[in-house]
Amino acid sequence: MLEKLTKRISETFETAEAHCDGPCGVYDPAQARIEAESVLQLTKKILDLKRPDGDDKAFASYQNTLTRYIAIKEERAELAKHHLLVLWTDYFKPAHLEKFPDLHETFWKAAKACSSCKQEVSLEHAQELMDAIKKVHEMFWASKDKDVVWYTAS
Amino acid sequence: MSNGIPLARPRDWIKLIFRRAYGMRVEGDSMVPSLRSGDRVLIDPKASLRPGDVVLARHPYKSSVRILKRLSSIEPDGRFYLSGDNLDGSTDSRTFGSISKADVVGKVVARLK
Repeated sequence: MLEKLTKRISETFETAEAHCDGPCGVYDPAQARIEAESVLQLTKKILDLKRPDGDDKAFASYQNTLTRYIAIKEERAELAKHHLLVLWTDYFKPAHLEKFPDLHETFWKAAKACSSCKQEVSLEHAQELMDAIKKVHEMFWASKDKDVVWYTAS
Repeated sequence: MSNGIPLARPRDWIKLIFRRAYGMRVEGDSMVPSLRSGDRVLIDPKASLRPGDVVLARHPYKSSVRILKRLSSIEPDGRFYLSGDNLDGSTDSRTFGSISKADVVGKVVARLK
């Protein structure tokens, strides 16, 4: 009887929100890692591409392939930067900074590596980007007290 | 100081019946583990507030939204700094800054089972 009454009363209650403005907890550095892997692969492909000795047609085809590689590298580096910035500015909070004092330095380097990967055809910088994202991966999962193994798709 | 919200006692129910307090339904996970989505809580608009209390407040940018957060500190200028207990899943003063005392609607005094 009393239970019924309290249930009845409770049903009239309005809602008080206790959540985040965005979808809660849907973050994963894997997004940045996948894009950075593409950047690394494309850098390799561009460096490996041989200029053809053949006719104009072969040259046009070469130009087309090279241009596509460059365009995709540019796009993927920008996406990697975007995903990194989302983690940096939305996921990580001041409390995390106490636990990971080099958090800002890591993200700053990672974002700069994205820019270098666009400006240059540099295996070294593409690898630097991957290394920085690996570090982000480690900090991210440590902040959630989860042990998630780092792996790459390629 | 315990972070938990006590279960309603008879005097809380009396407050509710005489409209000295009112109930709200919790939605979301930002106050886990103190409060869970679906919990029903009792708000006392007249209760005095201290850091550590869980409060119902107006969202500073969304006037129709009422939020439940913990009052983590009162700043030197008298403004209230709110945070969710579940820091990974909360939008609070870390994002929208401290809020004015006038935007605090009341204190969560009890949980109704």
